[in-house]
Amino acid sequence: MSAGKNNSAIAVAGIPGILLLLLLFVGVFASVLATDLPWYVRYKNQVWFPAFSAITQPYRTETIQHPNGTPEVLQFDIIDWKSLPAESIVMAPVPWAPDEPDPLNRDYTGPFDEQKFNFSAGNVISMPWRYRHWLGTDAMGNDLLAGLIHGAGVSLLIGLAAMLLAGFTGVFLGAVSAYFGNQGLSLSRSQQLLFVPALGLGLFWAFVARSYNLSDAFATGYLSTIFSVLLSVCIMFLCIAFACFAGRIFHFIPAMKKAKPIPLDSMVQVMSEIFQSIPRLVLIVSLAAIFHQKSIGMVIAIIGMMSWPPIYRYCRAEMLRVRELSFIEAARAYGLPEWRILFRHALPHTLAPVTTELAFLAGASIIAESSLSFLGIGLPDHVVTWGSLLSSGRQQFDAWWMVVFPGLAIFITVLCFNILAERIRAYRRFS
Amino acid sequence: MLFSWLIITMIGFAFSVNAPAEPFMGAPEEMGLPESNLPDIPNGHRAPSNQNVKKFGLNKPVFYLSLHTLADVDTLYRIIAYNHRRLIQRTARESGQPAMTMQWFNSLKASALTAVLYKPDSVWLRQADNAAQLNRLRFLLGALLLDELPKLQAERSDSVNQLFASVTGLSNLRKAWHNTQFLKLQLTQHARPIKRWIPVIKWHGLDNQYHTWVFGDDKTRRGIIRGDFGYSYRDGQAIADKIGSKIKWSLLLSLTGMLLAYLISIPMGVYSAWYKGCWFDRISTPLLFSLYAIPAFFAGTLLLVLFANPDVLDWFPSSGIRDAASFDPAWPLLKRLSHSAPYLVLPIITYAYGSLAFISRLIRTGILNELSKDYIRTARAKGLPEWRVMWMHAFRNNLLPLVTFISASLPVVFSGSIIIEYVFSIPGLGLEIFQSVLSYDYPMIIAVFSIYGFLTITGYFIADLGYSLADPRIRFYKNKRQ
Repeated sequence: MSAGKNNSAIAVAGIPGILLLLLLFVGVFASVLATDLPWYVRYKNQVWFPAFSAITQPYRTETIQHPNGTPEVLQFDIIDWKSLPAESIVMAPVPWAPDEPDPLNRDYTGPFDEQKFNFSAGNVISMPWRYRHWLGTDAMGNDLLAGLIHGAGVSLLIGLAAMLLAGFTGVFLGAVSAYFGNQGLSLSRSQQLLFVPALGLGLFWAFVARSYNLSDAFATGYLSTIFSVLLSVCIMFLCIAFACFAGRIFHFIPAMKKAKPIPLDSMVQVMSEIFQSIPRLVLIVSLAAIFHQKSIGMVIAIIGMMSWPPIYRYCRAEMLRVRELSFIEAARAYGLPEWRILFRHALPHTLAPVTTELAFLAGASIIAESSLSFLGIGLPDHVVTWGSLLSSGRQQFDAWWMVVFPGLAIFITVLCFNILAERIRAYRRFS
Repeated sequence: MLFSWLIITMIGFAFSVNAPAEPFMGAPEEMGLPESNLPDIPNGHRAPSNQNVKKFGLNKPVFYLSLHTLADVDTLYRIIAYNHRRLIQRTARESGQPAMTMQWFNSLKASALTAVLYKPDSVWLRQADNAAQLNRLRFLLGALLLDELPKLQAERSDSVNQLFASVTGLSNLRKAWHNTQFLKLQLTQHARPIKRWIPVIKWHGLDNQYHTWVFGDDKTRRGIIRGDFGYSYRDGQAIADKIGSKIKWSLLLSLTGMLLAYLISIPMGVYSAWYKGCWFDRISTPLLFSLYAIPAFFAGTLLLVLFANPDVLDWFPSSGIRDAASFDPAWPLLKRLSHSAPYLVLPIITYAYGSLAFISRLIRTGILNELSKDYIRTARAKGLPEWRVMWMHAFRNNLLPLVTFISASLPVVFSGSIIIEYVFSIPGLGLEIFQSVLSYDYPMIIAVFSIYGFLTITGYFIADLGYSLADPRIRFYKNKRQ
């Protein structure tokens, strides 16, 4: 390493890393940063803080008792806070929500067009600076900037979650299949004979006999889906473990005790070949049709499950190199179990080249997600994303802002991920 | 290779069979007729006519084998409607009595049919709100056939019972419903839910949907091995014909786009590696790198906004491939092509820029890597001219990744780009795939799955051939002398 080189994580990530962190912050706090609810209100000597808590309790109402006359009832989600004659009010930085249209500025009002504002009942004035739609509005009058802020969360969530899923799958399969190869793992003949029927029975009990439990869980929600799928997977693995255990019983027959290698490497290779030969877009829509309702989780699962082969290949190539190194041999001579050598000693050394690919993959996943929402498939209709904003700009070419700003958001995010990948690669080369 | 391809076709086939969409859900009105024996029951989806059930082989078993539980009805494939299928399967699994479940289902269907066909006398109809009650009864009995969820079933049965208690008359219908209720009671009394956990494999023989699809039958279908992909659900046309008529635009677009990309990017990559650090390299490398981060739909829409917009620059038409008013199909090919040319400029640019960025980066990095090697110094020391060193040595040795890229793009050349054809409304194969996917046209989707998979695997094969052409050291057979 060259002297004086700063190699802290921030220095490696640089400006793109900081930008991405900022974007992540914006995405996580989107519903507080861009909302038509105020942060702080003082109205007729009553103070509400934080007033945006109405995001979580949408029907929050407050009643103001006047000394003489009828009480005034404020329902937080429908009242027009901007024209309320409050003593003091602090609005969110972007005082608009992506799904609360501004009827006075509908039909594609541009950022430089004249915008109208409802000052008080029936008194329409020109828009004050504080409440301007800085990036314009769409056909319904939804604020574009608010949409972009809310879309950032969705894009980053899908990009990062799909990256993690593909990363875990690819690294695990690549490391295990390269470390053991076609010869490294072996089961006795009786175990192998029992393995096939056990796998069949496991799959049957896990997914065929429980198919209605699973479909009920899908309909209930995320948590029950995860729980139910995990239960199924456990059932399957229990069956397989039982087969391996029961196979030992037959070891008193010499022919059954003979160890036979499992061609793990070839099997995983065929699997990755198959995954690469499936057209992703067609698969996504077919699956969306099977599961009936569109959901973010499904898009993440599909993009993640379809993009592990490149990670797998990088990890496999690296593991093929690492497993021949002498410290692995030393660990083996020391008598450590194979799985411990694989995960504690060999695997950490293969991760470095994979991080570069993971950063590229996050960018590619964001492009895949926004393409899908541009075509209007995959994600639920009420979720605002950069791709869906851009597709509404396609209806009206005059509204250039509906095309340029969401496109720029995607472009900058993906570019940041790509530069990050290049920086990690360069850092590895020179360190 | 053949094994992988078979697996891919089976995956596609499994999707089409398990999809909850009815076969004719997205089909236009004339393709599906209401199921003839159940008029006016709200069954949610449009059912295929009996003639179409035969034409598409929907009444056959799906595969050679089926794996199901001992509780399942083993002739379930004869039920066409997806909702009915689920209702029967779920009831059978919970009761463990397949034969009794079928009896109960038929009786429920008969009750619903009786309710729909019931012609009450006019005196009865005028009493109180009998007419409304009868309609509600019809609706509830139809809805009992629709949803298999036990909770909904119980709720609806209760409401039917209450309705029967509140009206007089309706003797036939009442009898039919009592029969249904009796059979349901029998089901719960004789329940053997343990049978759900016992697997059964049933052999259906060669007369199944998958076999017909792959190998054809003796009569109308010739099977995909003879180029017959079956018929589309959407319009009943042969899929092979549909693909044939749409593919020319996709091919024109993708081949021209790729050619353009290679013609520009190869010299660019070589030049910027050759004069590394010159002004051209310093500008083009970051530019291409950032170009790579622009998604195709953004680039396409941006081009439309800039160059096909009367307010900015109205240079190119914004969608389609020809002007319907002035186009004459009798024109010679060249005239037709030149007529369509302005329509294709923007799509081809959109198509080319993505691979342009990728290929030129690939070549630049590869050549820079080669240039540091010893044989380049030897070639220069030999006195070879610089262009020869560059093109015949460095570039030649950098062909392998290029071959990989070309062969990997083979399936994409076939399927066209769904996004680009969608943005520019080009009636190519990509747009056709998109539309058939939106309208649940499963025969088309499986055809695309299998052709795509076939071309990917062919691409691997071509890549292997190309490697040995580009690098004579790579051979397929093992050299016995070594």
